[in-house]
Amino acid sequence: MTNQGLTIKDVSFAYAGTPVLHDVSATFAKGRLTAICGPNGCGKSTLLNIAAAQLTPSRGAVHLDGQPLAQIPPKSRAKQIAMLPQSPHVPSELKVRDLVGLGRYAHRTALSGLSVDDHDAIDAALKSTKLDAYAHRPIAALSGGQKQRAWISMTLAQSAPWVLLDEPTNHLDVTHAVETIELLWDLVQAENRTVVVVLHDLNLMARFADDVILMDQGRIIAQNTFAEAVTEKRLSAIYKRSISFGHLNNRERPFIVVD
Amino acid sequence: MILRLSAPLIFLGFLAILATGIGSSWMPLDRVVAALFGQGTRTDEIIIWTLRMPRVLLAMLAGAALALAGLLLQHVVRNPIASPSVLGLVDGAAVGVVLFLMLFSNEANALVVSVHWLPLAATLGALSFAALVALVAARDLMQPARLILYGIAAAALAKALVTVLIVLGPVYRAGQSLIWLAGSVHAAHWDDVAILTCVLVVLTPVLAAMARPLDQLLLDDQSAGATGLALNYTKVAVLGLSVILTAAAVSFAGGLAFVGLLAPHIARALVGLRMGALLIVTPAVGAAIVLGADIFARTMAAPLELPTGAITALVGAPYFFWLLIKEVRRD
Repeated sequence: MTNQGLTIKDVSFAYAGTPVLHDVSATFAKGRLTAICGPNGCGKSTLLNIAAAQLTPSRGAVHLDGQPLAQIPPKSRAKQIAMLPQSPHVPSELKVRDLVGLGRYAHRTALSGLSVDDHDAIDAALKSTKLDAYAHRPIAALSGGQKQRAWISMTLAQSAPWVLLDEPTNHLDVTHAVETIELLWDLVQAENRTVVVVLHDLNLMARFADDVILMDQGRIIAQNTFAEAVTEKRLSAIYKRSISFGHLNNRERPFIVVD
Repeated sequence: MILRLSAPLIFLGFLAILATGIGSSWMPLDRVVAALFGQGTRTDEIIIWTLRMPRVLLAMLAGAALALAGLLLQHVVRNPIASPSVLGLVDGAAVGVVLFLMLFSNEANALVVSVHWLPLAATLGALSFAALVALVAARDLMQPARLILYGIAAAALAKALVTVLIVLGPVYRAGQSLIWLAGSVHAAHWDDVAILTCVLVVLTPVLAAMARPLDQLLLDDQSAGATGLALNYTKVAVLGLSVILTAAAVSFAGGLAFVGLLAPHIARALVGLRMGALLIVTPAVGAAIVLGADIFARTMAAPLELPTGAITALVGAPYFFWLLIKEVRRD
C-alpha cells in the first residue's frame, strides 16, 4: 500500500541557491481533502509545485502510484494531476468558456476540435462553479470571486483525480472563500477526487480539512488527520503568536483565534 | 466568424490583382485577369508572368512569413510589442545575408554557391541575435518593456555590423546589400518565390500542429505547464519557427520593418485570440501590408522607387511608439 497515491520522499529544493525545502517527505492520501498550512515563505507553494511536477526537486523524488512523476509525459501526468497556481494569468478578453476549455489540453489531439467529452467536462466544471450564466462573457467582465471560480473551473475541467490548488481563497470575501472550499469538499465527497490545497485561513482549514500538513521554514512540522496534526501548541510555535481553539456548541471542529 | 476569416483573404486577392496591374504602364484589371489565366496578349503575358508576378508573390510571401513570425513571437514571450524587427531577428538575418554575399561571391559579381543556401545563412544570423537577446533578457522576461530594450540594442548592433560589412566588402556587392537594409521586393525572381514557397509549404503542417500548444500559451507558464503543455519544448519550437520564418523572408525581401508587429495586432482585432483563426488571418494581413506598401513604393515617386521597407516602417514605427508608450505607462 505504500506505493499508492502521491508521495514525496526526501525532497529538497532551492531557488537560486536559497534553500526552500529541506528533506521533506509527505503522502497525500487518496479521496481526502488535505490542507497545507504555515507562515509565509515556509515552502507550501514549492511543495505543491513539486507535487504537480511544475518544479523539479534538487534532491529526492515524487511518485504517483509508485511511478516516478518525472518519467510520466506531461499530458499523461495532466490527466492525473491538475494544479491551480497562486497567481494565474490569461488575457482578460478571453471568454470564460474558452478559458475553461484550455483545461482540456491533455485530453485533446493536435488537430480535432472539442469532443463531446470535452464539452461535457467544460459544462460540468462551469456548472459546479456556478458560472454557467457567465460562460460567454470575457474574463474582464467578472468580479474577483467569479474570476477565481473561473480558474477553479478550468482546473476541474482537466478531469484529473488529483486536484492541487495554491491559495484559491486569496482575495475572496468570506462568503466566496467558504463557498470555494465547500466546492472542493464536494469534489472529495461526490466525485471521489483527491484535493490538496494550500490555505492561509486557519479557520477554513479547521472546518474542512480531513488531513493537515503544517510547515515551517522549509520543513514539515506535522502531517496527520486534523485532530492529530493541529494543536494550539504547534500553531502557536510555527506562527510565533499565541493561538487558541474555541468551540461552538453545534460544531465538532474548533475555531481558531489568534491572540 | 466565416466572414471575418474570409474577408482578409478576399481583400488580399483584390490587392494582388491590383498590384499586378500597376507598373511602368498601367494594365486594366480585365487584361491582368486574362493574362493570369493565359487568355491575354503575348506582351501582357510576358509583363505579368516574368516582371510583375514574381514581385507581387514575393511581397505576399515575405509579408506572410514575417507576420507569422511576429504572431509566434508575441505569443511565446507574451509581449504585444515583440516582433522580428524589434527583437533584432530581422537585422540579425540581414547580417547573415550580407556575410553570405561577401563570402560566397566572385569578382564577376556572381555567387559561387547556390542561392538556395541564402535562407540558411539568414537563419544562422537571426538565430545568433535571437540567442543574444534571450541570453541578456532571460531574467527580465516578465517585464515586457525591458525585453524590447534589449531587442532594440541587439538590432542596433546588427545594423552597425551590416553597415561595416558593406563598407569593408567588395564594392560590387554594396548596391545589392543595400536592398537588405531597406527591404525591397523590386528585384524579385521566380527562384526566390519558389524557395520561399517551399519554406512556407514545409512549415504549414508544423504550424497547424502547433496551434493547440500556442493556444495553451495564453496561460501563464505555471498554469500552462499544469494543463500538460511541454513548456520548454514548445517555447524552443515556437522561437525556432519564428527565426526560420523571419530568415526566409529577409533572405529575399530584406528588412521589411514592423510587418511582424502590425499584422498580428490587426488579425487579433479581426478574429480574436484563438490560434486556429489567427494562423490563417495573420499571414493574409501581413501579405496585404507588404503588397500595399509595395504599391505605394512604386507609385508615390514614380518613376523613382522607394524601398518597400521604408513604407512599412512609416506606418509601423508610429504604431510601435504608441504601443511602447502604453506599455511603459502601465508599468
